[in-house]
Amino acid sequence: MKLRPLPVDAAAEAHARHIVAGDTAAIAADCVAEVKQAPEDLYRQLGQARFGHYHILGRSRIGAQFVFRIRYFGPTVVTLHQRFAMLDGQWRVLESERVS
Amino acid sequence: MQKFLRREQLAREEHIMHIAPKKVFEVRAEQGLPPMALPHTDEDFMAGRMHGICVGEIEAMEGAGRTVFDFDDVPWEFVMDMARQVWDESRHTEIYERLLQHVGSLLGEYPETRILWDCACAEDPAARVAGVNRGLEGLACDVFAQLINLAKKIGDPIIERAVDYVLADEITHVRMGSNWLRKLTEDDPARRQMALDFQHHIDELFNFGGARQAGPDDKVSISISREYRQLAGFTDEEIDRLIKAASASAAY
Repeated sequence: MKLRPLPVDAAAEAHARHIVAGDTAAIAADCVAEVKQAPEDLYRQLGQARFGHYHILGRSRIGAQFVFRIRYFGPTVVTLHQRFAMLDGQWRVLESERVS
Repeated sequence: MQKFLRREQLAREEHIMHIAPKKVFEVRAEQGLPPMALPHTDEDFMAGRMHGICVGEIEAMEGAGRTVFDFDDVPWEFVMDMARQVWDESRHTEIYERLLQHVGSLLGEYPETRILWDCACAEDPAARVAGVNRGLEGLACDVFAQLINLAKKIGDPIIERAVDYVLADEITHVRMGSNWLRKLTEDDPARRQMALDFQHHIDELFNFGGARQAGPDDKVSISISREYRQLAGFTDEEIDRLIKAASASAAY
């Protein structure tokens, strides 16, 4: 059985596609200006990596926000927890944390 | 096989996300929410609470299972009682998975903090039963009694009766833990006191900075249940001590 689809899923998929594509402008537009990163230069590191595809492993709710567990595949395999919130009518990334 | 597993070593399907409790509380605070959900602060209170209990039962099953294996120098009857508890907790896991579906949710919809597992890792078996069977199962008595009362209020007999069925086991687990705490520390009052100190530490931790109180079920995050704690064999002195400690916990 799978979780029912929610509108935030499309935002998570889009952000993951932008990371795989290395589209830095789209990535920045997906995130809030002061997006929290762990490590501090996570997005810079992701920009230097090459990914072929991603897989969304899970979606977890905390209040009105959602944390997605997304794995990015390339010469390096990286798993992130990425937190989304609805701001001004749009789902935006508040935080991205590397968990493995 | 390794003894005394750490929380990062628990086997899980990847869609069940492990997020530290401190992080969950921070994210909730960012949204103006209390650390733990209340019926009037969280519209998905029942689903979130049911999910927390479900992953808790998984951790309890794993914890009891580890206790079957972790200790070499314990009576065989202790090992058997822990094995029986594994069986009980696996049944509870199944019940709560179905209750989760009953309230329209699924395993993995909310994070798993593993705070319960962390508290089940004492290296002395007497401390382990004090912390788990008296501390955590005592918490279960509070949480389940509250859930039963809330289910009665909303007119849901499935939740009411299923949780009542599980609560009966938790009362047995508390009594069994008290029994083994006494037996394992019969000739060692210092060891007994260390085990009780560990239990009190667990109790304080699960006061969640004031979230657990003696109060109305729909007004406090976790309502201390004098009635079910008495059934489980806690003395009035122990219950009063818990209530006093809970009210003295820092307000969040």
